[in-house]
Amino acid sequence: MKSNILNISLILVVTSLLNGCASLGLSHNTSTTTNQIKYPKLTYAESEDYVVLVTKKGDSLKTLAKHYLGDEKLAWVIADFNQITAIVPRREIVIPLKNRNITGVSSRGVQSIPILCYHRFGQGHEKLAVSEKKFREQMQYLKDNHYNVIPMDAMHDFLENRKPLPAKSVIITIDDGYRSTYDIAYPILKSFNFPATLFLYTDFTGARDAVSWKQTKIMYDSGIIDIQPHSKSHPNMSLTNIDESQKNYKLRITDEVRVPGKAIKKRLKYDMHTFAYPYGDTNPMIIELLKKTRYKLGVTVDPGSNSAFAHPYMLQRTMIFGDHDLNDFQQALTTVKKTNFN
Amino acid sequence: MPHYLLIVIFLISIFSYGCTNSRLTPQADLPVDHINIQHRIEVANSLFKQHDYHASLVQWEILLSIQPNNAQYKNRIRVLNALIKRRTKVHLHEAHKALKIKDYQTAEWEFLKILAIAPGHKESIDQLKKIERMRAEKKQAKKTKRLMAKREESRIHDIIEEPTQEAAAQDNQQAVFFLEFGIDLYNKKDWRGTIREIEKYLRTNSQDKNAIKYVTLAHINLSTIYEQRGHLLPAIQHYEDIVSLSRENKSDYSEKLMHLRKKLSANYYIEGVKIYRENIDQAISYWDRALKINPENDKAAVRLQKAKKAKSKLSKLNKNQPN
Repeated sequence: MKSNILNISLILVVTSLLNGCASLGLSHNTSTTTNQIKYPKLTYAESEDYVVLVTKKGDSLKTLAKHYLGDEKLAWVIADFNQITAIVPRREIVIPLKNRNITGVSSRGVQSIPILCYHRFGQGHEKLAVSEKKFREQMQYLKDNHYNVIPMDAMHDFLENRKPLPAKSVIITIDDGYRSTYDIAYPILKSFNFPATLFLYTDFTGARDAVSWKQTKIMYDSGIIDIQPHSKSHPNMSLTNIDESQKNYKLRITDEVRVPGKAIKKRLKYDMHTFAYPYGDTNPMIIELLKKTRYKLGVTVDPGSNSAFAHPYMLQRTMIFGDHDLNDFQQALTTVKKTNFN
Repeated sequence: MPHYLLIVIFLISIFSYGCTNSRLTPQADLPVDHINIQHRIEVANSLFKQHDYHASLVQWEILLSIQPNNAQYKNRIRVLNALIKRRTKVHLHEAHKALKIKDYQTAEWEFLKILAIAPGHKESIDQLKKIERMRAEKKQAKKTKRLMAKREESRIHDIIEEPTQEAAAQDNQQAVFFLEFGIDLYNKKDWRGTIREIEKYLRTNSQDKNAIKYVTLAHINLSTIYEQRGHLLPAIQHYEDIVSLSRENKSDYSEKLMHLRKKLSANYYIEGVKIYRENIDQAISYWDRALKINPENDKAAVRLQKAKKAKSKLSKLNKNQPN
C-alpha cells in the first residue's frame, strides 16, 4: 500500500514534469514560447500505417489513392477516413495504409449494407413497377448524397471479413428479368455508372414481356449489369408440393438451382455467385444445395440491411415499390445501425 | 506496471496537459500551411474524454507517424492499449455470461462493444456471426411453418382468406403475369410451361374461359404427342385434366378420353394374352389393369376370372403334391 502511494506520487511528479518539459520546449524537435508548445512545421509525414499530408492544388481523392494505395478505386478509403467527399487544396488529410476495421463497427455504430430490390420499370403495372422518372430520381439521390453503389459480389469479401466496404455502400438488384430492365433501368444505370445485378428465372427469359438472351448479353458485356440466377420457374422453393415426397422435392429443387445456373453460364460463360430465392424464401436444404453448387451468397426479400455478420445465404433485401416516394427510398438506405457503445 | 497505474498517469497527464495548453485552437476545416499537430492532440484527448478509446488511439498513432520519436505519444498509445485490453476483458466476461443464459441480445451488445474498441477481435466476430445466423434461420423457419400451415388450411377447408386490398391487387397483378407468360409459352409450343404457368393463374381466376382454353389446348397437344408415341397412360392423364377443367365441349373430351381408355385397356388385354402361358401372375396383372382402365372390357373380365381360377387350382395342386 505504502509503496503504491509512493509509486503514484512519483508518477504524478514525473508526469507533471514531462508536461512541463513539453511546455518548456524540451521535447523532440520543438522551439518554445512561454504558454504554447511549438511543433515542427511539416507538410508531409509517413509511417507504416499512415501518410499525413497537406494537400496541393491538383490533388484529388483518385490521384492520392492511386499514388499511396495503388488503386484509384480506393479513393473511398481516404474519403471515409477523413470524412470528406472531395479534396480541397491546403487541407490536412490522413491516408490510412492499412485498414484494421474490417467489420465496420465503430463508436458511431455498425456498418450495414442495404440491398435494394427492384422488379419492373415503367407505368401501368401498379406496385411492382417503378416509373422511369422515379428510378432516375432515386439514382440521382444516391449520386448527390455520395452513396457508393457497389457490385453484389463485393459483399462476399465483406462477409468473410477480408475486405472492408465504403461507409455508404449500397447494392442494386433487379429480379425476374422483365423487358423493362433493358429498356428503362439499364440506360439509366449506365448513365450513372452504377453496377447492378439482374436475377433471372430462366423459364421466363425470352418470353414476350421478358428480356431476351441477346439483351442479357449486351447488358452483361457492358460491365454494368451482372447476371445471376433466380430459379428456373419461380416457385416458392421452401415449400414442398402437396403430396410430394422428400425425394421428389429434392430433385425438383436441385433443378431449380442448377438449371438456371447452367443456362446463364452457357450463354455468358462465367460463374455464378449469388442466388435470389423466389419470393425470398429458403430453408436449410436449399442453402446446402447452394453451397454444394458453389454459390457464395443467397438473397431474400426480408427488408433490412446487412452487417458484416449477416448470414451469407440469407441476406436481406428491401423491395422498392412504384408507390414509394423519395422519403420511403431514403428509409431503405440504412448504412449505419446507430448505437452508442460509450 | 499495473494497468490502473497507467490509466491514472494518463488521466493526470491529460489534465495537466489541458492546464498547460489552454490556448490550443480547435482547428476545423480551414486552409493550413503545415500539419497541425496541436489540433490533432486536442482531438485525441477529446475522443478519450468521450470514452471513444479506439478513435483516440488512432489519433495518437497518427501523431506518432508525424513525430516517430515522441515519448509522450508512445506512452499514450501504451496506456490506451492497456485500457482497451481491460475493457475487452470486462465485456467478454459479460458476453459469455449472457450466452450461458441464452440472452443473445445482451451478448450481441457486449461483443459489439468489444469491436468498437478492438475492431479485429476474432472471438467477437465469430460469435456475432453465430448469433446473426441463428436469428435469420429461426426467422425463416417460422415463416416457412406459417406458409405451410396456411396452405394446409386452405387445402383442407378450401377456405380462401379475405385478402387486404393491397394484397389482392398484388396477387392479381402476379396472376396476370402468370397468364401472360403462359400464353407466351403456348406460342412457343412449350405445352408443359403453358400448363404450369396458367394453372398458377387459375388458382385465383378459376372461371377465366380464355385461360382454360389455353390450358386445354396445351393438354390436348401433349396428349396427342404421347398417343403418337404409344404412351397412352400419360395421354389419358392429360385428357382427365381436360375433362375436369373444361366447361365447354365436355362430352367431346369425355368421348376422346373413353376412346383412349378403351385403346389402352385393349393393349393391356393383348399383353395379358401373350404372356399367359409363360407367366400367369403377369397376365393377371395386365388384365387387372385393363379392367381398371376400362371396367367395360368384358373380354379382360372373363380372362381375369378364368386366370384367377386356374391359379387357385394350380396352387392347390402344388400344396397336395408330396415333397
